[in-house]
Amino acid sequence: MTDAAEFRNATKEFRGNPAIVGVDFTLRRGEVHALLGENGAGKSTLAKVLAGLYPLTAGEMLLAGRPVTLSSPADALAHGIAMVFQETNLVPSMTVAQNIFLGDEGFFNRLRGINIKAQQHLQRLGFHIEPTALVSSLGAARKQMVEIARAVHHRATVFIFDEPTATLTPEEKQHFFALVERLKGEGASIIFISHALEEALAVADRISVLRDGRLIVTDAASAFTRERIVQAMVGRQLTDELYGGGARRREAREPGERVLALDNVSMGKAVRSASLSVFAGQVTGLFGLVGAGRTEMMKIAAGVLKRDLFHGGRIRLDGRPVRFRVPRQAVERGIAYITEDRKLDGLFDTMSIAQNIFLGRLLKGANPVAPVSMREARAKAAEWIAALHIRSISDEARVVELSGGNQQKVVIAKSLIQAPRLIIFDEPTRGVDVGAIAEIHQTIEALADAGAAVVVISSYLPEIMNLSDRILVARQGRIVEEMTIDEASEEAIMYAAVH
Amino acid sequence: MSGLARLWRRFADRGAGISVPPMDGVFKPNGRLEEAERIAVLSDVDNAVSTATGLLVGGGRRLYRLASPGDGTVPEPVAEFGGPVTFLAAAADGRLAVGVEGEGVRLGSLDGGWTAAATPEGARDCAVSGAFAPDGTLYLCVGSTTLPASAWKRDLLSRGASGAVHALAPDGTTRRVAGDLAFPYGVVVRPDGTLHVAESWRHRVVAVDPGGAASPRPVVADLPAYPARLSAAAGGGTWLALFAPRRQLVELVLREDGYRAEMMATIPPGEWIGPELSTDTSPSQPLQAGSVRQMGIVKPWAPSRSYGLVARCDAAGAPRETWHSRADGTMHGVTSVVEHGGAVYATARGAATLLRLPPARARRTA
Repeated sequence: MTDAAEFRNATKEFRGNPAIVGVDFTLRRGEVHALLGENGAGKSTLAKVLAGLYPLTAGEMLLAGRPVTLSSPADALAHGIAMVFQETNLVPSMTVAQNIFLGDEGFFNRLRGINIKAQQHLQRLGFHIEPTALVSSLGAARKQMVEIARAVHHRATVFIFDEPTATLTPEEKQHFFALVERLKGEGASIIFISHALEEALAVADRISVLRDGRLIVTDAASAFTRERIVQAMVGRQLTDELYGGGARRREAREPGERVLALDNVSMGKAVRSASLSVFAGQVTGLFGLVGAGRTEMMKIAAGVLKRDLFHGGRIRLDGRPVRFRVPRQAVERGIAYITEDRKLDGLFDTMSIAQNIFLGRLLKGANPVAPVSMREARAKAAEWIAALHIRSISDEARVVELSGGNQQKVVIAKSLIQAPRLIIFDEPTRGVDVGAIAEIHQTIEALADAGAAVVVISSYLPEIMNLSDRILVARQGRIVEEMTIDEASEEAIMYAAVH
Repeated sequence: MSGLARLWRRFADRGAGISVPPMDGVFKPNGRLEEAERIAVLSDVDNAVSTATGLLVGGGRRLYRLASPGDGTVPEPVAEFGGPVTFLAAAADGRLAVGVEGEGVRLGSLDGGWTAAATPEGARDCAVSGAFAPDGTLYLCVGSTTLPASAWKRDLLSRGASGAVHALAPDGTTRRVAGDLAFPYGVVVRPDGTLHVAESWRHRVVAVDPGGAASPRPVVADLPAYPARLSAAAGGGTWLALFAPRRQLVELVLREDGYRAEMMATIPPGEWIGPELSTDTSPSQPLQAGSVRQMGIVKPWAPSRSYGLVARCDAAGAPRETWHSRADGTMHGVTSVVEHGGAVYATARGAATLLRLPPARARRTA
């Protein structure tokens, strides 16, 4: 039986810079093939070539044993290849049903008929999404589901999932993995790109690791351990730097002063009478499923969102009630909120690293009419580039040219340059490679050790358990459980988040 | 302009709704007070003090001594007064001070009899706490200058702030150290000579200058419960008893002046909506729309009006560890906590029980 897809000595260059070099890769029929590597390793490029977005510079691609050159994603889809992107490609102003049937409309389209068909299709996949809902009203996880549903609808036989679980809750991930199993059972071949190594080990039949555009190893998943994958990915040993196998390496830090207190804070239906405290010198982990209101709680504290004007509760900073109208007021009071969506809220991606970092400085206490000294900006940025090990050709490099991990470090530097006392990290390592994860974790630990109050919002339980000195669990807009690190286990946290 | 700003703040404050600080962090609920060893059942047990001859406990009009508490020793009545004992204090030289509602402060010893001390304003009826300094000065908390100690709930619902701290020197002279306090319910002399005072109705502990020169400075604010008596802990910290929880219902009542006035004028004090020392099981008390009981079982997280809470604070006064008896427990209304003979004892007035607390967690000791 021929392979579903194959690359022979494949090379793809962008303006002379190779993204993948001499890659030999095969995707067998009916297999789940995990593609792993640090950001910038070439995983997405390889996948995008297969999805018809880029042509190869050298080498060849075979589908079902025949050499092909795909001219577009539509061409790829015609060959049965569908890619579900990390950033979804849906039309936000259209409904879920319209998006699913986009490009496959009949001559006469009856909206009701489309909605019914979409409903049946979504139910078959186990996705609880209203087909008439506008895509713009959906959260990231549900958008991803729609994207998957669309690919399944187009009867693709090769599915490429690029970081499919990054935005999914653990519960939704289980649905997703069940879907992958079902697709595999129906004979589909799946490429699974992820930073979550445990997921790759659990779901994949074979694993390929890329590093610096080259294929380092391909083997059966059962032949890999976490350590072997990490070593192949980064070329160095990171065994205990990350998560330490779930076991804590240290005692929880003693709490300092109560820096932030939310007393019965409410905001619409997203946050309902939420109460929590954040203490200096500690990392407070905040866990919850999508829609639990954890991000909204912290955005209210940081002035990004406003709580209800009436009966919206109280927020106390250092014991004094505060009500921020704009985030700048929170920044001036020493609160930094590091967004979960760096591309949308965190960066000016066409500006340089130095400009981005110094923008953070300008937000706090800078004279609005004084000219900006670019020399000072570069000097300040250089300090943070060195401190956070931001890797780039130069500090004048545009942020868009950086890998996800380095972009995240720029976002962090942009906030830390403000010398905040309360730092809120929202999904700090989402879409970040393992090497950068360890460095970001070290930064978070160092901040707490230095006496800052740190909040880490994460959907990734090992991250929450590894970093936090105390763990808060949010559900349905309120805090439902607080655990010490001695009490916390993945099961206990998840139980609190779900029940 | 400032008037407008004040008006807006008042408006915005009301708009914020009624909120109480969360019991989280150090105040995360546990059942450790329920697990405490029950040493003795004493009617109206309210306060305790460690002396060289044993643990002295005040309950109702009587003073009891427990030579070696918990070893089968029965509390021995050692003195009786003309009114309820409202505080106990012991000096390093063995002198005792006893507050008696209606009689004021009595100084003396168990063997040598009692003499009436000079009584500052309000101390006759409402001397609720006292502590001796190393120089023999007795620092005395007067909860209210207008109401007796037993009428503490009326003082709270009247938004009373007439409390004061007085110094009674060994030569018999008195001076006011701090005033306008909202029911100062506990006092402890810190190793540096300053006083920490639990200002109950303002839910905080304040540092008071014993010379009376500086204004009280908050040490811990926004406590989730009403603080009561303080005592010194080994290692330089303090013990803090918190006698009742803050609840949104009570906060609402405290906002509504007209409602409170009518309630106090027309309803017996036992039925007033306010903090309690024990859970009232009488059928006349509302179950708060099922939020307290579910299928006959009291929910531990229910917003009960009574609660049991003890906190161990570090040398700076910050709470470090807590012992709780939640809504489904009975060891409520802890009004004092004291170290004696290497163990820690608490008086759960709501349960009329003297408790010995489970030991503090080793790594958290100050």
